[in-house]
Amino acid sequence: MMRVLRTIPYTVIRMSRDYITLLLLLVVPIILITIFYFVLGDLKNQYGDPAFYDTAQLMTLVFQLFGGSIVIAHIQDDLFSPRRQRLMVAPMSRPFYALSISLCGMLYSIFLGFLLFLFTGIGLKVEWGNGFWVMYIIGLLAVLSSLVSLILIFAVKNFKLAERLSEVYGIGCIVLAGLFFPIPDYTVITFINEYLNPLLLAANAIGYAQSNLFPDAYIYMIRLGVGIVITFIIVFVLGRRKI
Amino acid sequence: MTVFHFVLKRSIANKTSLLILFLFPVVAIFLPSGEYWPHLPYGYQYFGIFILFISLKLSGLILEDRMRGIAKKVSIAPISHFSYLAQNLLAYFSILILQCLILVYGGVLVGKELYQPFWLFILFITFSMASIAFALMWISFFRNKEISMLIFMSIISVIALIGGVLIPIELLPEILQKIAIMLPTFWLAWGIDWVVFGGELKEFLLVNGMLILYMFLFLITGSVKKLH
Amino acid sequence: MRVYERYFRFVIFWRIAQLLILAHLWLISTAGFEAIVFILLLLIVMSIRIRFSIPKWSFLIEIVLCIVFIPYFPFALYGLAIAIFEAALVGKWWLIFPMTIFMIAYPAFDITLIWYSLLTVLVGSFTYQSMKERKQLEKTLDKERKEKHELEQIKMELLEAYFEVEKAAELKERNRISRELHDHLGHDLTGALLAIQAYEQVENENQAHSLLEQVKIRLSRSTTRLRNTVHNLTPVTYIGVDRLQRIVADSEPLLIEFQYNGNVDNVSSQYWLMLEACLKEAITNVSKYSNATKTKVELDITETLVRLKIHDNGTITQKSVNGSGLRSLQLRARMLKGSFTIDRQNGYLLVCVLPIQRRGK
Repeated sequence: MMRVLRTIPYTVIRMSRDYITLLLLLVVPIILITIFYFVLGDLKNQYGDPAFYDTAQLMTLVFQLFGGSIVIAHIQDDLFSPRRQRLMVAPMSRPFYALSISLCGMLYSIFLGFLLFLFTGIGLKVEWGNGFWVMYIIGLLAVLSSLVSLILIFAVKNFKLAERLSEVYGIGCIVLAGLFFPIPDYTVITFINEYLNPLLLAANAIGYAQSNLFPDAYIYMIRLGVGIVITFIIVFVLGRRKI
Repeated sequence: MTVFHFVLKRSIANKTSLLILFLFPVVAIFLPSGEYWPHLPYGYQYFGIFILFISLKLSGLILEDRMRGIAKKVSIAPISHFSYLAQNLLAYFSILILQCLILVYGGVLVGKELYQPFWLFILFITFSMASIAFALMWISFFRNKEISMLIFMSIISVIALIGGVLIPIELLPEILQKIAIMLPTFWLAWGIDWVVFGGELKEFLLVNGMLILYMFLFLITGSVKKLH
Repeated sequence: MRVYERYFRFVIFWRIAQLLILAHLWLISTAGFEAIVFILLLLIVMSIRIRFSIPKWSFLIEIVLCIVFIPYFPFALYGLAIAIFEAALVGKWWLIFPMTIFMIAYPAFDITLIWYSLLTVLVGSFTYQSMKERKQLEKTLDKERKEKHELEQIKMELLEAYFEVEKAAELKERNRISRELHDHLGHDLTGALLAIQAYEQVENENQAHSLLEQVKIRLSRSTTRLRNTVHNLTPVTYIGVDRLQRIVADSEPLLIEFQYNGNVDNVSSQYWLMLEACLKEAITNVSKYSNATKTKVELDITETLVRLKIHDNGTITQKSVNGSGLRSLQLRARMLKGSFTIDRQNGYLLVCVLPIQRRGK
């Protein structure tokens, strides 16, 4: 246990040195949100709020969907590559090590989300509502995305395929949320968006809380939480077999 | 044409790539149309971005050759660098032509409103040429396929946004509108507008001429012989 | 094929900077897409220039492009600076005069433009000059390198020729000895042997006596001949270990102790010459630079190698430069596939090790 704890600083250093992830999950969203800031300007949505607020909030959440790639890249490096053999002979508990990597990855992803939140909130003056609630929801979304990615990497043998599938999960959520183009109103799709699509669940939880409709916000938050519990059980079952 | 033959085979050898290569154009046909904008159905509007990604994925083969030392073997084989590159690019180009054909012809068959399908097809073809050349230049900066793809992704998301593919160019601030003219996607968007609204043939020739100029620029800078 | 390696990287930076200036001018102007076409064409010409070697007059392309595009994009006038730069880069800096006249004659005359092209021509000419100088220097360097290489080659060849000559001399000497032995000594000895055998058979007293006389004459003649031959063979100078001893004895004021062990016949004459050179060099060095009171010379000869070790008890450890004598000794040792090392850490120590090649191999 102590030995695993001692690896944490190195895990953090490794994650912070992954500049490509930093570019994709921090720099690109900042650029995109800034462009949208200029594009949308003072445009108002149907409720009279600036349309840019919704876009900025959604963009911030969208990039949380891809946070899972941090976790699975490190799990793959340490537990499923030739390095696995070295870890097998190391005198420490592998499940705990996997847990510590996952937690670090999730925290890192949440931290990136926090930076985006700060950038949009302070730099671009987006109104987010209660900051703690927002960070809580961003955290839940990041944890859920990481868990989904973990399920993929445990269930699919080919790492590249798992990576692609986690991208499909992210892009699929975006497409279903209707960000690329309007999605037709089929019952199935509406159901998915209402109960399953984590992006919209998080966006709604934040949105309702902003207009002080906390009962609604709690419902969406609980749906996210249920998603986390279910995915965690699957990860636990699959992970016990694989690690 | 041995290289051409085998590059073609390698490009479609694995099931996932085959799926990505030919399923997407079919799916793109059935994507819905927008209310005010874009003027063409979404599948056609976004096809330019798809072409960019596919060109990079295909030309990843050249990067793989360089990484695995096959480029070194080729350089002492009785085949010129020019011929090797030309056959590679030709193979990628023929795959892209096929995709454009599926998209445009399928759209006509399904009965989508494409205004001038033939000119749209020509436009996609010239854009494919420019985008293959761009991919060739792009991979000459990198030594690793994954990293080249990831950075490409981040660049493309910005280019698509300010290049007039994701949102209409008129919405952008003036300075970004000017910068957008430098991007090949701007010309694609202009070409699509021409296809929708019609106009003088001269204008369409200008758009295609620009794309071909870009192709030459990227080809010249990208065709450097690199042996890692 | 990669032509641009010959250029300074600076040239490429300057070209890109010029294009960036044009792009900036376009951004602040109201010109439309024609400017982009113009800049793109310039970019293409530039990339061709970087990738391939194209003729010197190619700056004309840029001039034509600028003149064609000026009606659409007034700032294309600034593009002329690129042409001026490229012209200056190939030594045609005088192009600035007609250009300046053209710029002044042009309605939208601008003093900044003149200043800008002046700057360009300065940078271009400077680069041209330094590139020319560099090329000249590289040429000289190449020449020197080539000459040095040739000299080394000649040295090696001379050393090889020396061995050939040595071998030929040895063969010649061997021939002479065998001819001498065969023609005279062999003859007489055979005659004497036959006479002795006949003497055993003969019964007549007189005849036997005369035979014995004959044997005596023959043997005495053989002895003389043998002495002559051997005397002829003995060289006037000393060789081998005697020679080394003599050198040591000649260096009288120095106190040198010489000892050797092993079979000195194993060593061929070229090795002796090498060892002698080493010894001489070492003694010279000791007498010149060292404060030693005692010098020890050891020569060990085994079946497979010869080792000469010269060691003095001097205390001067300052490093003197390896002179040409030592360098040539090193070279010769390498020719003989041996090694030659000098150490000044603990007195002056010179060790020369040479492998012995078996005869017939």
